Amino acid sequence: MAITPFPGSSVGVASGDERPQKNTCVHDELLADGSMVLYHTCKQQLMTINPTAALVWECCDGEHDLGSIADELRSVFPEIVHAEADILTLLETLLEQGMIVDEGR
Amino acid sequence: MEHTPPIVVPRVTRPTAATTLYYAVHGYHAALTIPDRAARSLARSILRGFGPLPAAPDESVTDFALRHADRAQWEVTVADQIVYRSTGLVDAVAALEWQLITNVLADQRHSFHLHAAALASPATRTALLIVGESGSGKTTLTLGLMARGFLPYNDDITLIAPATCAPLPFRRAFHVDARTQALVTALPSSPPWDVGGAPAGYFLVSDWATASWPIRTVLFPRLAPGEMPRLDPLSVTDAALRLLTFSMTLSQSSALALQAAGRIVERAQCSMLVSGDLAATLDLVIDQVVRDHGRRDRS
Repeated sequence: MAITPFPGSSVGVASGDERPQKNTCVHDELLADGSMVLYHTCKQQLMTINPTAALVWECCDGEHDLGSIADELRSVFPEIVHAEADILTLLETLLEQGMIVDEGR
Repeated sequence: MEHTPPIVVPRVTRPTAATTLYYAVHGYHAALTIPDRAARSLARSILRGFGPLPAAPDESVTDFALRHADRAQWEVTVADQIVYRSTGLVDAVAALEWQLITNVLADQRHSFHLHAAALASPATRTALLIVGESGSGKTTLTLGLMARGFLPYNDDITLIAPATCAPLPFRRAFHVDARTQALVTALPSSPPWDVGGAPAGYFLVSDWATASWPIRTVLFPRLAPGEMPRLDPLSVTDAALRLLTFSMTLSQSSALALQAAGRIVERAQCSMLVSGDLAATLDLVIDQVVRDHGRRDRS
């Protein structure tokens, strides 16, 4: 299962040590199918993410690093093979869109 | 030296009842002062769905005015600020109405607003949303469905109660162009046109939807003359994104907008509507409303 933001694009930012945190300007809403809508109130920008990406989003609490997010993801979606790579791509997109901020430690 | 006192022109600080119309629209109170009799009559006709009130309300009101700026121009003011000038009376009355509606909507902090038409289906006791830009066919579909027994909450702006996710009546006059009027008049049974002294193109509705029925069908129409009408179902995600794109609440109360959109797409079947021949499109939409009602009953 792919972790897909819409629209998606990737930039090389995250290294794996960061502990991403939701931007306080962003409001989210979980939808009936497990997908999620994100709205950046300052940029007035909408974004939707699929159910696996929504789980990653929930882990963006400033406590989880890449490894622990991947563990959380595998516990719910054991079929995901390349969790770290997919998560990294998603986090890069979220960071680029300003939906999350880095909390590197 | 002889001292001449300055000439003081008395100013009317409180509008007189004869030239002022009072309105209360979803908790927003307005006083419209329109000294000219013809202008007042036009404004009164366009705003007939909202009042006027029989007397000045006790609540504080926002002052609107429409009067001659000079011999050639009409002037619209809100709280003594000039917001519009025109040589045409009808344009000035339309600007006054638009300004009032804009202020009413800005005041609605506890409801979800959409650029959409909303109708009640008495046969299924459900509501239908038609969401789209101006020119996407909302009013044409609304009038066509009214000819088939649906009742409108409105044709352009929908207010939705977040707790129930049901449309609220918003009795704004329809503004119908000649092409739309011809299309609807050509239907086997067209709705009654109640012009009621309003300027050309304005259409007053006599039977509004009042029941608080749940939204079970949401359509995003696209005009495609000559094509067979069809419905393309949307995923919950796509529907929510599209709905929010047409929301006027998102930038003001984003949490409320996100929650309301999420609840609506969870409970309603949402589809893109390719809108072709009007009669065939109406048949398709009515079938969909009935199916959505049945689907919900089984769940």
